[in-house]
Amino acid sequence: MKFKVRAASQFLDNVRRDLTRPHAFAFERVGFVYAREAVVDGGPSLLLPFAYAPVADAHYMPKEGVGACISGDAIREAMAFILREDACVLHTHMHENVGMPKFSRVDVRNYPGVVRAFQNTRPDRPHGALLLSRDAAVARVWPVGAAEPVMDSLVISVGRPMGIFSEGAIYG
Amino acid sequence: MDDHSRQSFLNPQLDRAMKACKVGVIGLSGGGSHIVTQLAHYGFDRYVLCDPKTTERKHLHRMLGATIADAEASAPKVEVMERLIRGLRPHPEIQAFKGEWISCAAALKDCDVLFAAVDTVGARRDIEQFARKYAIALIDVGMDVSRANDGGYRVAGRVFASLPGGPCMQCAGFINNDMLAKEAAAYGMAGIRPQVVSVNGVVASAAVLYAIDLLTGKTGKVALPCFITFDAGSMTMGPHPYLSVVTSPCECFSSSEIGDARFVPIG
Ligand SMILES: [Zn+2]
Repeated sequence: MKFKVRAASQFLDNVRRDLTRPHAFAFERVGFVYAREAVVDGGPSLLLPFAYAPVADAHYMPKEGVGACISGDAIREAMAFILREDACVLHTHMHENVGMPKFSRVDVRNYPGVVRAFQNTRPDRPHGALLLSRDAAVARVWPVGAAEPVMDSLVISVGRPMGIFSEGAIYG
Repeated sequence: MDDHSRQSFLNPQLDRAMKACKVGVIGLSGGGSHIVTQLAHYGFDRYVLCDPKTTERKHLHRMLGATIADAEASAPKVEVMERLIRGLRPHPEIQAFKGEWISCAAALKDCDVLFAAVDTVGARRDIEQFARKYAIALIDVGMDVSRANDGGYRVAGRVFASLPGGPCMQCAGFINNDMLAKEAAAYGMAGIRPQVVSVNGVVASAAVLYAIDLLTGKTGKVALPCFITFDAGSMTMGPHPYLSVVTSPCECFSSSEIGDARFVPIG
């Protein structure tokens, strides 16, 4: 099952602006993009971002060797939101390069634990991770009940210009 | 050598974008048939097409791709368009629906760019609402024929691009409650809506060029928001005068309306 994450480019730009604010000690910021799932006839499942919440400054913890380490409270806030709003959630951060971003080894190692927490909270929705660069984005989405993410999901940024991205490829 | 190398000056990534981007076309007569034809010539490969009608003799004046045989066989317009695409693209993915657009909404949701070539203000408004709900780039085309002061006819076409977060048709003053009310009152007495193939062609060309600009982002010169008019009498095309009064960002659609309708428990 494939996923397509489609959002207004304005929305993604606002998230980028938030994630590039400096933090007292963390090298990267993290936020949560909340999305509605839409059922599509003959296509991938659509994830439509509708809200974004940055992780509060106080929820970052100093840790060597990682860009950002966030507390359990930050994850719990996201869990409360998806429970209340019947939403999907994408753990979101940004690599400040131009062009396609690439999930780091640390990202890939940490996601399953975070996603499991979301799956336990809202087992009926897909959840995952969104990684932005200055002008592109990629997503990994865990289907309902899945232990592994779907790799070739599309991220569509709707605006001018439009961006059509999947891991390893920029379309347009 | 790639069969589209001749247009690769547009953007080397355009070919890949056209393979990944799903395009929808609602209404396949005057405007829509031009749009489909051009999209297929460009090399788009993923389509959702919808139109409830079958081909008739009178459509041959304005529907590209339709033949006398189609009119005699009352061929559904979606089938005529599907045949046209398959004649130009080796492996297209086409979902064709003979019906009103709302009946294939579940397929249209997957479109990244949606063209609407419909007749009524109400349908435009509903399609825009749908496009906002699913974060789809909507490009609306239309043609108006009105009585001029000298007793002749004034033929004008227009393109309006409605992007999520950007000004909508109501913000731009392109549709309003007065127009919707007048249309509702005159329901069933609308009379004929003449279409002129060459005006449809001009307007559809502008709409498709706008879509290509969205996907390549290379010109950076097309005005945002996009609201273009074409006056057939003077053969001039330019930004719609209403554009000058569009200032604020659109607040007509709320983020809570995004996605499928949900069951919300009360209390
Ligand atoms: Zn508006």
